[in-house]
Amino acid sequence: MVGVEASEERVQQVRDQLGLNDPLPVQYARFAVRAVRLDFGDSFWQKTPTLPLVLDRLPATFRLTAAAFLLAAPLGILLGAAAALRPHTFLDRIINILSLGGVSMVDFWMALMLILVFAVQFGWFKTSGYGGFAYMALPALTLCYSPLGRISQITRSAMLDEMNQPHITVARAKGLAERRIVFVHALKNAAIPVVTISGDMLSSMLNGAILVETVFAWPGIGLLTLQALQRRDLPLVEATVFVVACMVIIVNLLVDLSYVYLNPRIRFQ
Amino acid sequence: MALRKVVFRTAVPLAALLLLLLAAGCVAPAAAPADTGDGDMMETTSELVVAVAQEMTSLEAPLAAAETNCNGCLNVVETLVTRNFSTGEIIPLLATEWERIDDSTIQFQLRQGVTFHDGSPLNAEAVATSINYMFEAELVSDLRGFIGGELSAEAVDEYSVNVTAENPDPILLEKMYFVAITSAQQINEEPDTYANKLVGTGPYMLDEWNRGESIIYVVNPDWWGHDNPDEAGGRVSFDRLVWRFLPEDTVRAAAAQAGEVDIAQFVTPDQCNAATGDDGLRCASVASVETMFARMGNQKLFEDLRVRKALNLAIDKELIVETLLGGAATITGQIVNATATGHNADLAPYPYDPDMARALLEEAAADGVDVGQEFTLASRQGLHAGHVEVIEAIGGMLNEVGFNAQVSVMPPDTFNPQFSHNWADLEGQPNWVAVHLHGNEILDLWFSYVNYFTCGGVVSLYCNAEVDALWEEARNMSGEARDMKLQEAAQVAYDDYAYGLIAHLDLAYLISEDLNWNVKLDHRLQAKEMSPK
Amino acid sequence: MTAQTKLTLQDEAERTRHASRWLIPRALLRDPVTFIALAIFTLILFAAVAAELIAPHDPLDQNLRMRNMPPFSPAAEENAPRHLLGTDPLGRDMLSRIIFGARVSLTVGLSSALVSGIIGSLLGMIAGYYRGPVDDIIMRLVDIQMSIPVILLALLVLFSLGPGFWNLVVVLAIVRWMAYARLARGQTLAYRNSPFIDAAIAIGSTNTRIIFRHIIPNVSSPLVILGTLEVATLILSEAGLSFLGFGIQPPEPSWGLMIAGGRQYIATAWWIVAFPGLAIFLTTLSLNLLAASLRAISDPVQRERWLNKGSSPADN
Repeated sequence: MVGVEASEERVQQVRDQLGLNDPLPVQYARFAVRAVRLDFGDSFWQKTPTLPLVLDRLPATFRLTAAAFLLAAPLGILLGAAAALRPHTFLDRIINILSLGGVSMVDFWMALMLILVFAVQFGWFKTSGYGGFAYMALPALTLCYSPLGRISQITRSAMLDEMNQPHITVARAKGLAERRIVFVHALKNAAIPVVTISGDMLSSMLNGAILVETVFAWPGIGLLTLQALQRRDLPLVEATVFVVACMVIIVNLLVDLSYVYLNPRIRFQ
Repeated sequence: MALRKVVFRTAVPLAALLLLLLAAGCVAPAAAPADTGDGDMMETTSELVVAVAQEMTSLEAPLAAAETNCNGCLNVVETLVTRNFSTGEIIPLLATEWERIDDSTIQFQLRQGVTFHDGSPLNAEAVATSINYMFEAELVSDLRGFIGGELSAEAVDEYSVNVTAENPDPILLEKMYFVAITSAQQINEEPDTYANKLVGTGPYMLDEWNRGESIIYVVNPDWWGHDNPDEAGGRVSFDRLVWRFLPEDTVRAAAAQAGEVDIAQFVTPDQCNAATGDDGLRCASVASVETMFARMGNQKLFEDLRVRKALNLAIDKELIVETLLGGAATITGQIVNATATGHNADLAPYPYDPDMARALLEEAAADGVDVGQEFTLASRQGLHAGHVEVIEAIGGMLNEVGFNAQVSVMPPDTFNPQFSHNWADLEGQPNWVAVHLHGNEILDLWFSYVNYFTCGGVVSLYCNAEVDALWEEARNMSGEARDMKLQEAAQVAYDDYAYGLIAHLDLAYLISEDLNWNVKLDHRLQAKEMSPK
Repeated sequence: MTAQTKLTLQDEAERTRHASRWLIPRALLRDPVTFIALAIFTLILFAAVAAELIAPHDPLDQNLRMRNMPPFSPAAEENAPRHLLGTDPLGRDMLSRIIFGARVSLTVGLSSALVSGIIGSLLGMIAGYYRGPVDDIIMRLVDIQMSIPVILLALLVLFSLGPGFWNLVVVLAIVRWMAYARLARGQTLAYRNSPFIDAAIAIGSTNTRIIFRHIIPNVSSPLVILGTLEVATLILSEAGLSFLGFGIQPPEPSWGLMIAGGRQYIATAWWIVAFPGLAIFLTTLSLNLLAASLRAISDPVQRERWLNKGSSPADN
C-alpha cells in the first residue's frame, strides 16, 4: 500500500518544482495571474490541467442538484401554500413539523439510513454510483429534504402575510374563484421571498453535495473537492472553488433577474 | 370553504407531474451510462464488477506495483516474472527463462509472439525502453520504494534483455515482480498519454476511465495466454471488468449485499461477519504482507529503552486482534511475517504487561525522563477499514499506564510529510508516535530494513552500528546464509524495542457466492484467476 | 416609509420590550410544542453544563470486551449502572458519550454563533448606519463570501489551519457572519432616518453612543432569533465537518464524529449511529421550534394571534 517510504527529499523536490517553498505573497501573485487566464495549473494528484477535470464533473453535480431542486422547490411551495391556507390546523402542524424536520436533519445520517432501508433491505434503488433513476433517487432525496423544509416555511409565512392584504379581500369581494385568488394573486406576490430562498437553497445544495456525493460515490464536484482537499491538491482545490463560486453567482444573477419579472415596480424603474 | 378542495385538486396533479418530470429528467439523459454498473447483467454479458476503496491517481505503469495504487492494472500490464504463492517461487510470465550474469545483472529471455494492445511487438528493445523510461522520466512513484533504487535495462538481441540494479543485488529477480512492462511504441510516439492510457500485454485492455466513478477494462482477444492458460496463470472468463470507486466502507459492503458488485474490497471484520450466511455472499479474510507497527518519533522520550519497552508492554495486542479486528490478524514481534526471508521464528510478540510498563515508566521518571509529556498518537485516514478504533484503543491503553497520548487521525497528505522523518531530522519536530502499515511485498526483510532499521533509512528511527554492520554483510548474501544473517539483525533490533509492533493484518473481501476466487498473499485483483461458478 | 410609521415602529418596539418581560415566558409555556422544545433544549443544555455530574460512566473509559453492547446491557463492573443506550465499538458508554457530546456540540454551536453574531451584527450596523463607501465595502465582502458554499469555505480554512476544536469554532464563526451582517444592515437602515435618531444627533450624541444606545436595542430581537437558528445550523455543520474528518478529532465525543465512526455498524449495531443522530436532530429541531416561537412573540401581530388562538385573522 502507500507507504511512508515516499521520502522527505522527494517531497521537497516536488514542493520546489511547484514553487510551494516561495514566500506566500509570491505564490499568491502567481495564482492571481494564472487565475485571470483561467489557468489553475496541473493537478498534483491527477497530473493533468485542473479546469477540464472540474468541468468534467459538472454534469453529474448539475443533474443531482437539478433533480433535488425540482423535487424541493415545487413541493416546498405547495406544502407551504397548503399550510398557509389553513393556519393552526392539524395540516399546518404536520407540514410545519415535516419542514422543520428537514431543516434539522443530519443529511449524511439520513443518507446512510436510506441506503440501509431502500437499497439493502428493499432493493428498490442502487446503493451508490452514477447512473439513471435507480442511482439518483436516494442522493436526490437526501439532498432535497432540507431545502424543501426551508422553502415550505418561507412560502407559508409569505403567503400568510399576503392573504391578509387588502387586495386579496378586494379580489374575494369581486367574487373571483378561490383557486385564482390563491395561485395568481397571492402566490405571485409572495413569490419574491420564495424565489430568494430558492436561490439560496440552490447554492446551499452545493454544500450538501459535498456530503451526499461522498456517501453515495456520486462523481460530481463535491466528491472531487473533498478528494482534492484530502490530497492537499491545491491547484485542483482552487479550480473547484472557482467553478462552484461561478455557479453560485450565476444562480444569484438568475434570482435577481426574476425579481424584475415578478415585481413590476423594479421593471419600471 | 372551497380552499381545501383547491389545494388538493391542484396538489395531486402537480405532485404527479413532478414525479414524472423527475423520472424523465433522471432516465432520459442517463440512458447510455445506466447499463454500466449493473451486477445482475453478469450472466448475459459476463461482467465482473469490483468495488474498491480508493481511486488511482494516474495510470502510470510504475503504479501497477501495488493494487491499491492502480486498481486492476495488472489485468492490463504484465511483468517479466511472477510469484507462485503456494511455493514462494518466482515463475515465468513475460520472460520464459533467466540467468544471473553478475552480482547486479540478470539476463531474461522473453516470450515470443506477444504483442501489446497497440499492436507493437514485445521484444528486448521494447522491454528495455519501458523499464528505462520509468526511471529516467522521474515519475513520482512508489516503485522506487518497492525497488529501493534504480534499475536499467539493455537489449542484447531480439528476445534477450539485461536488467541491472545500481548496486549488487541478490534479490533483483524478486523485484522484477513489481516492474510492469508497457508499450515502447507509446513511449516513443506519444509519451503525453503515458499517465492516462495504459498499454500493456495483458488479458484485458483499458476501455474507459470515468474519473471519480469507475474504470472499465475489456477483454483482449489477442492475448498470448488464451492458448496457454497454464503458463499465463489463468484464463479469461469475463468480457468486461468494471472497477467502481466506493470510498465509503459502509457503502462498499452495502453494494455487495445488494448484489450490485461481485467483490467488495477491504471490508471490516464486523461487516464480513454480518454479511456471511445471507445474500449469497461469502467473506474472504486473507493474510497479507501488511504489518501494523508504531514509530516512536520523539527522541527526548523514546531514546530511553525502558520507555520504548513500556510502550510495547502497554498494548494488549491480543485483545485488540480478538475484538476490534475480529480475529483477522496475527499479533507479532517483528515487522515481516513468516513468509519472508529474515523472519525469525524465535521472536515472540512482546507480552502484555501493564504493571511492568507502569514500573518501567516510574523508573525512567525517577531518572529524570519526562514520561508525562504529551505526544500525538497519529495515523493516516483510510489506513485500513476500521483502523481508527484500533488507534483509539491503543491511545487508551498507553494512557492507562501513564503515557500522555492524544489521538489524531490525519488525511494522507497531512500525515505523510509530517511523519516521514529519519531519526537524525527529529530535532525540533513535535512529539509524536505514528502508527503505520508496512507492506513487505518482496517477502524479504531486507526491504523493511533498508527503510526502517538502518541509520540512513529514509524513515528509520533506529540507528545501531551493530545492526548496520550485520545488514551490510547480509546484503550481498543469498539463500540460507542471508536468512540467518537477517534473523541475527532482527534479534538485535527486537531486544532494543526499536519499534512498537502490533500485528500482521488480514485483509477482507465480500465475494459473491457465484464467483470463484482464491485471494493470494499479494491481494491483487486479477480477473484471470477468477471465474463464475 | 413615512415618519409616522417609523414612530409607531419605535413605540411598538418599546412596548414589546416592556411587555415581553411577562409575555415571553407566558407565551412560551402556553404553547405545548414550544414548551416541549424548551424542555428538550434546557435538558440538553443542562447535560452539557453538568456532564460530569450526570454521566453514568467516563466517556473515554474503554472496555474492548464490552464493545457494541445493545441498550440496557449490564455494565462489566458489579455495581456500575447499566449501559442505557448501549456501548460503542470501543466499549464506551453511549449515554455518557452523548452527554459529553452535548458539551462539544453546544460549545461549538454557541460560541461560533456568538462570535459570528457579534462580528456580523456590528459590521452590518456600521454598514447600515454610515452608508456610503463603508457600506459598499462591507456588503461586497458579504457578496463575495456568499458566493462560496459554507462547508466548502470551512473545509478550505480547516485545510490550511488543520483540524481541531478551537480551529473549528474560529472557522465556523468566519463562515457564518454574513447572514447577521445583512439582517443588521437592513434593520439599521430602517431606523437610521427615524426622528429619535435625528434627535440623538441633534443633542450631540456620538455615533458610537447612537449605535450602542439606540440602534442595538432596537435591532437586537431579530438578530437573537437569527442567532438561535444559526446555533442549529452550526451544530449541523460541525457534525458534517467532523464526519468528513476535518472537524473534531477522536477520541473527543462529538455527535458528528460518533456517527462518522459508527457508520460501518449501521446494519449490525444501529444504536451507535441512531442515538447521536437523534441527539443532533432533537437539538436542532428544538432550536428551530424555539426560533419560530420567538419570532411569533416578537412580532406584535403574530403575538396577538398566538395569545388569542382561534381568532387568528388568517382564519377568517
